[in-house]
Formats: sequence, C-alpha cells, structure tokens
Amino acid sequence: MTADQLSLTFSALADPTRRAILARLAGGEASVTELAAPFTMTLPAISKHLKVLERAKLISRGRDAQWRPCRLRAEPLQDAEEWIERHRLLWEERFDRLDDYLSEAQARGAKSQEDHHD
Amino acid sequence: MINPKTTATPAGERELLIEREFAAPRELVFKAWTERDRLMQWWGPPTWPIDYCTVDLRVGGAWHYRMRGPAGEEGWGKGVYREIMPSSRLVYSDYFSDEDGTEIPPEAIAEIDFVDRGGTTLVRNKTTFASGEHREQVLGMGVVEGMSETMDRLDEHLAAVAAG
Repeated sequence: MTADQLSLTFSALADPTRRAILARLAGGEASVTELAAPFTMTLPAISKHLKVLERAKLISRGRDAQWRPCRLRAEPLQDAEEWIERHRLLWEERFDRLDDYLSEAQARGAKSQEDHHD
Repeated sequence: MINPKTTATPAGERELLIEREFAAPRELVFKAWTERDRLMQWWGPPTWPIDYCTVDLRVGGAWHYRMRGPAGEEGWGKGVYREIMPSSRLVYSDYFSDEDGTEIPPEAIAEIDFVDRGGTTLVRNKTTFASGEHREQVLGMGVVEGMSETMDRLDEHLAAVAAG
C-alpha cells in the first residue's frame, strides 16, 4: 500500500457524513437515493461524498445504470487498521520500557533511602 | 440589484426556513413552481436535474418526478399538494417515491409563500421535518447546498423567461 492510499483513506474518513455512509453500507449495499433519504435535496452532497469514498476505494459501485448500488470495500480499512496497530505496538513497547525504567528507578530510590537510614 | 444569496435558518424544533428573492413577479414564480414544462427546466440541483415530470395541481393531487444523477442513477420524488393559493402560497408533502408514485416515508412538509416585493418576489420556503433529529441529519447531509443550487437554477430560468 502506498502512503498516498493511506492519505486518501484517512482523508475520506475525516468526515462524519462519510463515516455514517460507511456504517450504513456495513449493513449491506444501498443506492445513492437510499443513502440520501429522506430528502431529495441532499442528493448532490451525497453524490460528492460517494465520489470521495469511491476514489479512496472504500466503496465500489455496481454497473446497473439506474441503481448503481454502493458496496463497502474492506481492504483500505484493513490497511489503515494495520497502520494504527503498528503504531500502537511501537508505543506499547516504548511504554513497557518506560514502565521497566520507572520500576527500577523506584527500587533504586527505595534502596538508597534504606542505605541512608542505616 | 437583488442579492442572489439563498439564506437557510433552522427555526422552531424541526423546521428549516429557506429564503431567496427573485427578480420576477410572483405570478411567474408561482407558475415556475407548479407547471410541468417550467419545472422541467429548473427543478432539482444541477447535478441531479429532472428528466421526467407529471403535475396534477389540485389538493390531494401530486407532482411526481424523476431525478437523474451524475453516474446515471435515478431518484424519484413526489410532492402531494395540501394547499394551493394561486400566486401566493403552496403547501405539499415532500417524499422520495418509487417509479409508480408509492411514497417512501418519512415525509417533510414544504410550505412556500410567494411574497410580492413590488415587482420582485421573496420566496419563503419552510420545511418541517419529521423530527428535530431528522432536520439535523438532513442539514449534515448537505440539504442547504442542494436547495441553494436549485434556487440558482430557478433564478436562471426566470431570467431566461424575462429575456424572452
């Protein structure tokens, strides 16, 4: 996966309406009119959101001319999740080492205090 | 010179007020909103114009149309007339529908007042949604953009009619 694809994915996800569309499509495919329901005047904005999602390969659209059903595509989301997971692991390791350091530092501190009392 | 801007203001618990002034007498603006051949020329946002329309202008009658999207998709809409006062007021229930005209709930109520401003016309379009939550959802989904673009097309249509 290219960094560019990752940017497309995160940028497509950085909008609450587009996330709502993806959440809706997780439950099954839907047409643009179903996604725009219940008000026809939202159709142009929904069309634009679908274009962004399609460019980011987060959805694909069927060929049927009148219906063009939208389907969720999982691959870019999995790639984004892997990216987040890699960073989570990196930080987990760093925090583990910090944790070890703090335990040692406290133990040393306690010991030097004991030595002092003696 | 009329400010061409369309204003949109949430009002009350579940209403949205959209206003726009047009450089045409209200008789003409009302006709544009209620006659099939005129609606064909402007109704719908520019990326979703209508390519089929029937009008049965009487209380209980309906206005049924097909919108065509940028990818060739179809969307059917329907307005069921509730109140008709020629040149001054129009009230209809606004729905998505199917090809046969079966309404897909929930409905939104559109109340449109055509106010004479001495030759120009102020259109006050109040839409009452099923709930406040429904209104917020529709606002988030870009309703103001779609309405503004549609009002721009009406403005252009009226200018073309005036130019003869």
